[in-house]
Amino acid sequence: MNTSEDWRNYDLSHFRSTTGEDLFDVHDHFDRWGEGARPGGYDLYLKSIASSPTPRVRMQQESQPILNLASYNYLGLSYRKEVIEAAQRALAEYGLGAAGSPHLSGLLNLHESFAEEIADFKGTEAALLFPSGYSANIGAISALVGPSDWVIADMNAHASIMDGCLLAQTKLSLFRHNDMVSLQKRLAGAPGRKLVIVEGVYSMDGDIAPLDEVVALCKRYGARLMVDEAHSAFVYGETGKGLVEHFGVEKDVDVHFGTLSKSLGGMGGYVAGSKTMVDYVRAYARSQVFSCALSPPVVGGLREALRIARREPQLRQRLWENVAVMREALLAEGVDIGDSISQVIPIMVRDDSGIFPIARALELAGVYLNPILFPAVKRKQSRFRVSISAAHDPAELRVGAQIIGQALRAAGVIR
Amino acid sequence: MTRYGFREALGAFFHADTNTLRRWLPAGLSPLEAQPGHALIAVTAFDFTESEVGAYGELVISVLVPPFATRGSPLPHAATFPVVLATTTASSRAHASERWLLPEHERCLDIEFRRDGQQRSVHVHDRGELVLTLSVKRSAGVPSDRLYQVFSARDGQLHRVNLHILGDLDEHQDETGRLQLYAHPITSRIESALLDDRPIVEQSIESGEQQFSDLVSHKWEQS
Repeated sequence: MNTSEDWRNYDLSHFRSTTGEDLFDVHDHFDRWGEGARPGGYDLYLKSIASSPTPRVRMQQESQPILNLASYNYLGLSYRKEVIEAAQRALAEYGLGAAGSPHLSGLLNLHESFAEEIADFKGTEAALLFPSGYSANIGAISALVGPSDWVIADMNAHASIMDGCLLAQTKLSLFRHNDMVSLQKRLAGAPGRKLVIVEGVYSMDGDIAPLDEVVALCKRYGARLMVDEAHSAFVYGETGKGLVEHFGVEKDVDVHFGTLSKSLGGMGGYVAGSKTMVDYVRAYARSQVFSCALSPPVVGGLREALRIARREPQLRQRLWENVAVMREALLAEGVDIGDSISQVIPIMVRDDSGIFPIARALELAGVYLNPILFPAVKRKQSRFRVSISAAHDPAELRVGAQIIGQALRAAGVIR
Repeated sequence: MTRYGFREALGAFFHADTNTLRRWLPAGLSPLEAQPGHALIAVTAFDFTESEVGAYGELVISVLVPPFATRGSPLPHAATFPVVLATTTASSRAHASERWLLPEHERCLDIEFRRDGQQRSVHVHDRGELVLTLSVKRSAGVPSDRLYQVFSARDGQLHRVNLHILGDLDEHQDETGRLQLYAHPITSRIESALLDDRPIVEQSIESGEQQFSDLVSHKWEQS
């Protein structure tokens, strides 16, 4: 960096890997970049909101609520009265924290019951809870594979999957996104033990993995399969088990991964599958072994959220109706939504610095959305990520789509 | 300051095996990884129209490495260690080797730039036989001035030079480009490291200039 005026020539990737005489020299460059980047638009990240993540949020304490299309509260469960009451009961009974690792004093009967309920819901022999989705992925992957094994993962897989491979020091082979020819080539070129990892719904594009084809290839090449259902568990499939149910491949997947922060509206992650696999991961997933167990009120709330998700299939029905409404409204506006077919809908802008003023204009016009750009997505593929919830009002979604269309037209992104 | 004017430049970054690239680097440098085990090779070609040694074409294959960052100096946009440098004239090869201590390919190659709509490509031949072709897609460019850092090594000593590349730049990650390799000593080396022939970054620069600062010995202790 010469001056803070140069910030557009740089992005977060430029400050991560450097060499030099002093370890902290790069901090000066990063700081000077921030002086330009923050007013340029990066201040839109790490921005607090002043209300719960409901369909309408207040950006400041005194401001008017605006339409929230940014939170991944797909079933609207984080603020459901029954969920809050269940969390309050668990708080009263167990206190705020588990006060220990699950391997020592931190495992409460509450955790055990919830893990059994997750396994029952997923139709697996066992499940293991983690403090976050990130820790579940890095813990499970680093437990399951080692330096002599292969992980073959989709190129668009989440950072936690890449970091799990880094921690495992495994051999990583990336196949082109959702490209089964590329996956086959990678499988053929990976002798020995291998674990294929794909996501259900890809979090930045909203497209889905062709799990039936992935399963067939894994069987053909003797690979184990792990499916990250962070964005698809509890919403996809007839009973909400996830994309594995949608494709009818529940029994063909070896490692079921999911998060508890999205559709269930709490926090945490889980790994589910055979009892022997789960027991092994429990022993060697250091992100779980060396972390405090999930907070009791969170687990209390999550148990109720899972009960609601199971007994109210109308929530999923409403979610998919809302997705159809929003897709239709956005397409009618001429908005490019990429290859999305899910509740995650990208609004393609493809202008890496031009997206920031659009975000500000949207907020002023009453729509809260986060700009997503490199390195979260490829360069010149910047976008807003719309997350649809069952709790959204279809009429508000239609208005939101119109506001988005107007903002994109004003910025020259669409005609 | 040494200046080289060019009509056109094409470049692309490819995933390559980190362990293989590490063996190509001198002590003190390590490959920059995009993902675990996935480092980056850059294949670039320049159509120089003005230089101290006249007009010539150039093909450079480099390993991307972390840039050397110092407080108070501009942060390089990227840093590279060239492992192959081939040109179309003997004088330009000698110049690159003497001035910048860059590797020198044993003989001249033919480097031809072609345009077909949005498609830009470079075709490299050695005595009439194809060595490689690189194609990238070009859309509208924007005026750009980027600082790069180029490392070189000779006689156990590391050197580095700051290089500004100016021009009308189009850079994207549309995965539309392609690198095709044919049997040749240059390509066999790339092939041993390349993990995918589809570039993860494509660059096209028109009407540009390279501005080299002075070469300096890299004082950082070699491990």
